[in-house]
Amino acid sequence: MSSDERELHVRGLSRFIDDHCLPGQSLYAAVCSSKVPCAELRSVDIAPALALPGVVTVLTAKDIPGENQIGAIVGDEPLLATDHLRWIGEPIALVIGRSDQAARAGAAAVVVDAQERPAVFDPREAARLGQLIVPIRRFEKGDVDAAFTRSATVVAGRVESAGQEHVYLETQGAVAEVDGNKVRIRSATQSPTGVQRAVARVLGLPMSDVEVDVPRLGGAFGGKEDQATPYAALAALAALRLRQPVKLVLSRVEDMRLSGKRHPYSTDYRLGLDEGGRILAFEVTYYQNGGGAADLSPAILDRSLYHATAAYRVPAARMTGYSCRTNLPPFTAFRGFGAPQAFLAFEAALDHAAQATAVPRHELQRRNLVVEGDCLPCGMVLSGARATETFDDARKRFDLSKRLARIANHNACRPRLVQGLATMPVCFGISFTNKILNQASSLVHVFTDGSVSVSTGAVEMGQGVSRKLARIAASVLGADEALVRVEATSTTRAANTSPTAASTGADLNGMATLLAARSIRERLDALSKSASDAPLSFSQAVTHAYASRISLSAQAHYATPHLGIDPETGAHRPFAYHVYGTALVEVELDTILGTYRVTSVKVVHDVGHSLDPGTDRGQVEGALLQGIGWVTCEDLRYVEGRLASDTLTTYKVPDILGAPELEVVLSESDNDRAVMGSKAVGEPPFIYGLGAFFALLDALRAAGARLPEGEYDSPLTPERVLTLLCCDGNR
Amino acid sequence: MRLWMNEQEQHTHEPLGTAVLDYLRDQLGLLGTKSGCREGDCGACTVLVGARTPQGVEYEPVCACLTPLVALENRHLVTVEGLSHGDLGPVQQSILSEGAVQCGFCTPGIVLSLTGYLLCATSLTERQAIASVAGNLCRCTGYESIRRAARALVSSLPALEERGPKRFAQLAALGAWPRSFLSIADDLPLVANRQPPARPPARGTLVLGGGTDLMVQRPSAVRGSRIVLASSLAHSCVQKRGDDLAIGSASTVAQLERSALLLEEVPRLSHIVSLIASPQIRSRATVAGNLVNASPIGDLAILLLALCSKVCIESPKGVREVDLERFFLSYKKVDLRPGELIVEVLVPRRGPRRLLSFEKVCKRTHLDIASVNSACAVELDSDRIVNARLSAGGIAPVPKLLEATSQALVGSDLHSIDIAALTKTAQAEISPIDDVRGSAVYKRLLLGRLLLAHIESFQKQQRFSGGHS
Repeated sequence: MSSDERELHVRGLSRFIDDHCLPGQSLYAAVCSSKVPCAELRSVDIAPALALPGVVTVLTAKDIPGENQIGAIVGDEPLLATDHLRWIGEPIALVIGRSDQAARAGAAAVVVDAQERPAVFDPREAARLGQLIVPIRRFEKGDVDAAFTRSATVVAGRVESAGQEHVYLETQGAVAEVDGNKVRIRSATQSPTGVQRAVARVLGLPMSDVEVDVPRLGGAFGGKEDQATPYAALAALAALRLRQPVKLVLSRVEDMRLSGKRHPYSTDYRLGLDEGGRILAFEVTYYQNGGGAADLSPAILDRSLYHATAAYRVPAARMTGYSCRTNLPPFTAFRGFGAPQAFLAFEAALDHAAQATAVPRHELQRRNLVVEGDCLPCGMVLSGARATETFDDARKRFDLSKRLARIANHNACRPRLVQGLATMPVCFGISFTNKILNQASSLVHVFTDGSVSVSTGAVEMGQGVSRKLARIAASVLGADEALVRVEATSTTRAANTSPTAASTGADLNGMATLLAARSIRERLDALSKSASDAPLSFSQAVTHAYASRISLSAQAHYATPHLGIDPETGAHRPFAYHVYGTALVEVELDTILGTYRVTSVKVVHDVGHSLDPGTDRGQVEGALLQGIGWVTCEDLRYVEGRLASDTLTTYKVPDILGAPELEVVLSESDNDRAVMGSKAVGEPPFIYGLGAFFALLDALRAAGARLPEGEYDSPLTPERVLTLLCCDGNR
Repeated sequence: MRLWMNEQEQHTHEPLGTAVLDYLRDQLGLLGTKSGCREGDCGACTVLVGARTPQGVEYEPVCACLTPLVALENRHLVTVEGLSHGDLGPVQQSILSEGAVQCGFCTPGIVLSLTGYLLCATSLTERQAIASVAGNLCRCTGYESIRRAARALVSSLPALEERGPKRFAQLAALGAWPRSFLSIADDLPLVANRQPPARPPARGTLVLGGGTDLMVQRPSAVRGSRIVLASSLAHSCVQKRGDDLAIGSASTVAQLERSALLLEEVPRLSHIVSLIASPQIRSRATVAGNLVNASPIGDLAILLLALCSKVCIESPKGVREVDLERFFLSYKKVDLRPGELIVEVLVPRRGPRRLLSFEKVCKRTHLDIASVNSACAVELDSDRIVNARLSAGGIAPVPKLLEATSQALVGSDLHSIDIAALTKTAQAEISPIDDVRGSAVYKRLLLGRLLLAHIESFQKQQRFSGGHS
């Protein structure tokens, strides 16, 4: 048996949530949810559902034995609605049936009486009405107003960025059963402890009565950080009530309608530069569309504020964020966690400045990149900055000037297909911005035959964290990597875990694993020294240790050091370190039809000393294509609060025929702030994809389009592109 | 009903409209085939279906979520479990060695698509190997590693034997195809295509073409119905009939793609087909299904309208022919009465005299439903357009022949067409609405641009054929 997940996958042997509890082995649950975006809930009539064949029972808010609340940051999200309905898709009742068809038919039969109220979908309107999820967030560095006064060029405008659906291929789901006096849940969650805590709260049980087990996820991308919780809690509620296994797996349409997505932002910017094109001042206001409940919105807004100045040195900056409560399904974490919206807004401002000053955008970018020792607006001083290094590397390696000349040449004869190019630098902070979450533990067992078991809070969702953990344990112990098994994540083996999120899975759990493995290794070394002169092999040492009654297990805890406010200097340090890199993105635009292709993406990406180059390459490639999708074809649409793009037929993610050729160069460097000199890799490369947006603007300008000044709308669907092409009636 | 399920012959009494995906997962407990979207868009449930035809045994990829059990009668169903005994095969090896697997949910589908490619490829090329996984969505990898895997697979294998038993044996020797499947291919009974004349459907039966739409829209209705497959009532080949091509109404898109006769009429056939549907859908979707469905944006309908097609309808009372543009009555309503069956679509043969242009614009270039699609066919006398048919979808409640605009084209010189006037004529013929595929304003704008693209295409085609000096 291979310990490698991937071999299970190619053989079709890996089991996901939907592969557990087949018909006849469990009951099925289906969610009856709100059909209106804003209403007073008057009554819920479950009798019509109960009358249907195969329906076992129907549960509503009054059946919840504990607290009807699952909001993790703000307590504003009942598991099942009580007196108000706040978005289409808000859960009202749970129908349990003998088959999934029976449960779904029951859910459709529940009669909800609700008095509709006026709904708000626009975040600016919500802000005007004072509907904020948390108080306004604001911070400022330097004398911003004076810096604007000094500026030779000031540009101001607005950026609209749409939401994004995760399209993890495995939909949300959980199976729950009551085993004696313990509730056991298999959940497709990035946050096993989050699920455990919510289930305990809802069921009125101590957390020790609830075990959450996560074998693997079929993709998540942030979509299962907070949003897996309600389905696990609902399945557990039903299982406890009925004392039978209950399975709740959403269909694709249900998943798309019910689950949260990346936040749409509406952003105002103002950017000031001196005569030399150096940035002096930046002011930005984010209106984050949070949806009907807080979910993770405040934390996501924080990351937007921390990344407001993107990869650039900005001496004076004022950042303001409104987390706005609207009547849409609560928006949630998605790879980048608020940073992509901030990067898009800053790069748009820079694009605007490039137009205003007639300096090429890549020149302006290069002139203003952060350098070693720069102090970010949040107060963090950069060390190990590689923004200019990776930018210059990409520029030289991929011969930027030759490419630009080739494109200018091509476009000069006004062809039908015009080309565009954009450079896209990244500087991305690593750590949870909520300091408490930057901790992890690991439990390592060495068996007497020299095989190894590692348990941490890291959830494997395709990002390869298991492989990295196995490599760390094997290298520290001196064990055979093929004999290291990284276990499924379980709240019984790893307690009080942070979600596998914020790109920190390998950093935190890897360091804890390193510490646990090291303490076992130290015991073996001490024993070897006393035992013989000849060095013992790993398995000899293990045998010897067991015979000597020395523990072959260790548990270790790691907390990222130096985070938070420095008591001496008062400087704020939200991140352990930053990840850098630069992409060149090229596009080709059909000036008749407004259709386009992203033709190539070339990247130099900073990986520290990679724990597994193959895995890191895959992360860069996957993230950047998601970034391209966000700003091009992925068109999330709501009509009066109802999701119109609610299937894979109407919401299109990139496919293989449309995906550009990718060339990723992993650039190594030293990093003393993460495990074995590595760097986190999950989220930063998403930002590269945003280059497609600016490359398309480049192509549109080359085609003669006169773009409206200071207005940036993402995504650039073919519809928007053609509209921009034709607004001057060119061609 | 009898089928071969991987290495075993099986009999089932499940309702014939059951989705193969449910049969595999719920009845047989074979869980390697994943449920990703249940509408044929993601390919996570890709399986292979082998059938013995008069040309030999052929395997095709299909989406298990859209395939009713009845379509497996006397056929060989291959799932990832069937390919995973013993050592890993070259497809699985190349996926592993190139890191083309992350979360793993889409992986079994990709294994099946690539295996299907090895079974039916005319020759091994990187481009075709990559195209064979066009219907498999992956949200993790960015596809670069999947492309690397396809390339590695192609370069690791020797030249392929001719399709059929020799190919199967060769792939078995290479470890890409289980040996136990060789004798199954030998044992498969002939699944004869219906030859003319057609047989009318019995009362109370649901005639199913490929089911690629009905299985999405009304899966429980399909499951609960007495189903008869269109292929048992009507033929599925493309034949010459006088001055026409007669396309059997049960022809799948894949069968159209392989037709040399149709290629004469539609020179860019395989490109157009690659825009329309994934390999999995092409194996199932039928001509008649596409027409009866009457989607206002149906790609085949738009193409066939420009080609001046007629629908040939049979019932116990006799045969009638309807011009395709008269067949579509109103939104989702067609001129087809109970007991009637579309048996053929007749396309007049014009060969190289006719220039054809097909364009569709969608959010994603391939395998998406268009905002607007359009086809235009013209015949030229030197540079003068003597005959024109322009069709468009997404701009009216039905797939529409733009008769006035077509008329306006006739008599024009290909190199001095008044596009503005033509666009104005077209605008008067259409009535698009705002929907998720685009605003009405956009669709109007787009139609004008599509006209321009058609004209450009004709000019280019004429240059290439040397018709214009």
